[in-house]
Amino acid sequence: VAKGIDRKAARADGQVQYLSREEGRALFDRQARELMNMSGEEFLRRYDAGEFDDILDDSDHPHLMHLAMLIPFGR
Amino acid sequence: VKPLQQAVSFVTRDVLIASGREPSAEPHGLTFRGGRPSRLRCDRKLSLRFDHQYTITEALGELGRWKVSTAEYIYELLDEDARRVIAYHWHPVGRSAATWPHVHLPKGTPFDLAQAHAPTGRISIEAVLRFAIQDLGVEPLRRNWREAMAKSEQLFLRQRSWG
Repeated sequence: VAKGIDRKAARADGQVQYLSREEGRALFDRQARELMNMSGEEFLRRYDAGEFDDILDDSDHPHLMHLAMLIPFGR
Repeated sequence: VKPLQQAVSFVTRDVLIASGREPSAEPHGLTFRGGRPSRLRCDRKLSLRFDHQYTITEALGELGRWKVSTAEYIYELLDEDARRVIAYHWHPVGRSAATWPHVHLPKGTPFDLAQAHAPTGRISIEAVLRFAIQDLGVEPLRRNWREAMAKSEQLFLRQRSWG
């Protein structure tokens, strides 16, 4: 069983998947809607305007920094 | 980014997804599929949130023509209700004022440190996963995880440009 686990884990090595720009934007939009109840486009607009600056890395709002980290998918 | 996929494969079969592989002034993103945390094998029902940004720049070193550098990271261990158990952050660019590597601790410590950004050195994903396995009861997916993880971490330590 352990060897089987090792083989399955090994198959996962190096299989990073690269998203197209459209796929990345769709992922970002889904996460923004799911976590912040707003579109990805709205999150980016409000982020760029500095609306979240005071609470961006606040432990009471952990989704904000997560979404900020996903911005490369969303732009 | 392949070493990062290899590192997370010590504790999960979930695959990382990336936003690009072209040289760019703007960083690329790397996260688990769907942008969601990955559930770990653990009685405590922990999951791992892995958000990572990297840049690809031309390099003239002995390691090859291109250099992949970490731009920012968030490595978080979450409980079954997606609350942070511990969160290692480094986001030196962007809009956060906390630009140094730091850790977020959960509520319930003698002082309320939940809103603090307790400084750390730069943390490798391997160090976070070793902590999760040794101290939090996460089950590794490989019998030889100690040796393989040490090898993976040595590669990171040799190639990192700071910290």
